[in-house]
Amino acid sequence: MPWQNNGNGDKPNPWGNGGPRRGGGGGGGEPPHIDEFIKKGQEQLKQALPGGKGGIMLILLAAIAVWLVSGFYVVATNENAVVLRFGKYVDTQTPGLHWHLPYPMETVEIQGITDKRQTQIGIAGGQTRSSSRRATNSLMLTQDENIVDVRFNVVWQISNLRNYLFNITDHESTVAAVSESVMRELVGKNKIVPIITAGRGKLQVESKDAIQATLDKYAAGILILEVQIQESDAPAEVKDAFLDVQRAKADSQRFVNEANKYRNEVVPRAQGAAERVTQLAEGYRASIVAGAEGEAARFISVYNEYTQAKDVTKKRMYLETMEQILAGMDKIILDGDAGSGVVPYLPLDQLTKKNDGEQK
Amino acid sequence: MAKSTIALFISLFAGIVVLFQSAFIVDEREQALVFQLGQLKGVRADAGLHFKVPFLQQVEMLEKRIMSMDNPATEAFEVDQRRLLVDSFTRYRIVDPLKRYQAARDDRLAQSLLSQAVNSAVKEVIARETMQAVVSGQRVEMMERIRAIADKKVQKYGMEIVDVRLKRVDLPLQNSQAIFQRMESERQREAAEERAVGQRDAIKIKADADRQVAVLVADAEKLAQIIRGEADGKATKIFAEAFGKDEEFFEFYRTMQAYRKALGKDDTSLVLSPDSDFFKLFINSKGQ
Repeated sequence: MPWQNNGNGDKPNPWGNGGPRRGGGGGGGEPPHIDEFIKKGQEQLKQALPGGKGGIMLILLAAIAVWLVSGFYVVATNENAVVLRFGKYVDTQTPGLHWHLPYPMETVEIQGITDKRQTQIGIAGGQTRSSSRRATNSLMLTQDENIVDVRFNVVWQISNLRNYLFNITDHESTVAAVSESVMRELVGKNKIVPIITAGRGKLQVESKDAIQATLDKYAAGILILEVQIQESDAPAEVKDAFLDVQRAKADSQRFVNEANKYRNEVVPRAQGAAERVTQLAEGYRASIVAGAEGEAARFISVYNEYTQAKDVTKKRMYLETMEQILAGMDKIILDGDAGSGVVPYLPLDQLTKKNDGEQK
Repeated sequence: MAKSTIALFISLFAGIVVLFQSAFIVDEREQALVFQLGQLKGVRADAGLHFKVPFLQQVEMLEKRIMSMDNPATEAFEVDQRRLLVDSFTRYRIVDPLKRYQAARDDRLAQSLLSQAVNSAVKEVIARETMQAVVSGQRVEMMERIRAIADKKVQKYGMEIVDVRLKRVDLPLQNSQAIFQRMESERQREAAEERAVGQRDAIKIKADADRQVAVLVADAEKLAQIIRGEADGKATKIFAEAFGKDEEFFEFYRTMQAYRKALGKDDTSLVLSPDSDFFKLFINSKGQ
């Protein structure tokens, strides 16, 4: 791209080295009349004296041929060319092989118009943390008077080569300055939290439109393709505090999760315990009722037999019971009359002691 | 023959020199001033081939495109007398080369005229605004006012201000530190609140869980008591039905059962009278 330097705003000296680009293939595309012209010239030269004059003519004609050929130029697919006749714009050429009136009548300027160019704002030559540059460039004031650190990329291309070349100077720095101004304005209209969180996308779109609108006002011939926010964070000085908010959110969530875990442990366990209590009660019911029914059935059976022979049964039952009871007991039998005198002196404690001794 | 050739070449050379001296090209990006012996004779603003008197007249080129100029931090006071640092940049062009040339021979001088005009316009406009308005208010409208004021001032220098844009509008460094401190304390407050809210929610959830547990247990106890009561009732009914058939016999039967359970163990000593029912036969056989 031998023309890139010229296109970047330097004034090409119309009489100086700003000559047109030589046609790529040289003589490949010469119109035939030039050949004839040269041939004729050569014949004439041969007819003329073989001395100095003929030689000069030959050189002259060759020079003219070269001069004409120099008017060829190729515009590559990504490029456009503007043609200037005596410095005045005449045409914009699209990709292909073209010919212009040779220098100094016409000159051509070629620029890659579909080339994507990047302008970085807040990013000092790749060094993201050079604090001196950063302080001037990427720290912006938000609506709620906080400071936010925004770095972004603007991707653009030339939309109209004529406007691009002839309407403004300092393209790069214009894009940078407009972008910074727009971004600061938009940041100033937003609060810090959206800017450093979910608001980035919106900011990108809005800033793109606003930058484009401003550049259109200059008729700069520049199309903004994209604004890419690389970073929009709290400044380094307060980053820890912002990170702590994130941590606090995580902590908060953790507390809730732990509480949920506790609930999920304790409630089912209590449900189990409750179920156990009711089941025990059910069991109690079953056993009590069954016991009652059993006992009742037993009584009824005995009663039925009792009704058959009341006295006998009653006596038998009494005696059996007494037999059983008295069999395992210490018994002292006192006559009613004698007993009345003795009973008070009976060493009851010794009797029980004796029993204790036996047990031991 | 040779003489005439030389003469031809000389005249040709002279012709070329004269041509180069009388014709000049004005590029699309430029506008030309024509001077005659240092005196301004005319302006050629349109691009193309132009002619002048050879040797006598000189040409000076001026930029025709929109140019840019950065105005580094200007101090300005807003309406509450707070000091602000304002960065702006200006886009301008030369509309009247003649006036411009008279006012300033070179770009450097022209830019210093411009920056004076812009800076004073910035101060003038910001002095009427609050900080909040400058930072987040209608910047576009403010910038247009600055442009209009500055433009009026530079018209006499043959220049037009196309646009003035504010870039950085900042408080001086000390204030930035204060802002950082405030931001930090705000975030700390937010973090504390966030944690407290989490704890509150956690306590709520735990309390709810505890309540559920208590309710579950109590309900279960209640149900259990009801069930036990029903069971006892049912048992009582069964007993009553069965035993009610013969109350007298029941008393006897149940007494016998109670004797067996309550007495009949080795640790019981019994003092009996031979008059008791049990010994009825025992005594009769002895005495009769």
